[in-house]
Amino acid sequence: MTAELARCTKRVDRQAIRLYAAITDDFNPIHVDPEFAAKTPMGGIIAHGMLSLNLIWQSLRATFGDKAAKGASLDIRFTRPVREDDVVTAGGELVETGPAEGARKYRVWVRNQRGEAVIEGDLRIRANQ
Amino acid sequence: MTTPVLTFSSFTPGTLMGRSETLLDAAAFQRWFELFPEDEQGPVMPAGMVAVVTMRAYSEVLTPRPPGNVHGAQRFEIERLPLLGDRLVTEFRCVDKKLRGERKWVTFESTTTGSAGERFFAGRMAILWAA
Repeated sequence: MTAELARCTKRVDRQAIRLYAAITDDFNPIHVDPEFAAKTPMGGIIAHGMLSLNLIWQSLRATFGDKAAKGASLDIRFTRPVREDDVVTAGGELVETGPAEGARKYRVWVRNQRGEAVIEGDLRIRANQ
Repeated sequence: MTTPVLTFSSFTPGTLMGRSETLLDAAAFQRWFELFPEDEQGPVMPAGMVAVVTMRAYSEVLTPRPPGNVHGAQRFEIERLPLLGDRLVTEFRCVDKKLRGERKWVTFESTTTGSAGERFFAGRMAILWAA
């Protein structure tokens, strides 16, 4: 029984944000236009939440292997914005097993370099991972 | 004639907003690996690219959007991951909208299937709509 997911870390710099915008075709100015973003309640550029979310999938794969995402469900909230040059780390702790044999629920998170949660939620995986 | 921007009042819960088709080609994988080189796992699409397929469909179907929307929450259910070369169809449906004070929350569900209708993954996203 794996009590903790392996931790995965990434620096979210401007290049990463712009690359993610291009990959997803999401050029919302809150992600790519510093002048626009400064005038919003966010007060500046924020990264796409889904960029950091990938670290949770990476944690799952690093812990259980290539096939672990099959049958998985992930339910999260973006609790705090990720700023340019933040260093974010994903991880998770086992909180529930069953009812099916081998089924597990992990409380997952992504935290910034100050230890503040930027993503929080639950990851459920199927049996026999 | 320009299409009017989608606003909070544009949405009716229960409405199918549209569908988007995409080919999961090598260029898409390559762009992802440029950002996440550690995600390479042969012909199977990395799980993180579920978000790419979903957000590209969101961008295509829900347009034009007001600037400044904020993504508040996301759920994904992965039945199985598609393979390089698969053709994917993603449908977007508005399922809820709520005013909380002055904040306009809109919730969408997405379903991504293969060209033969086989289900790959589904999502549910809450967006703080800017207008």
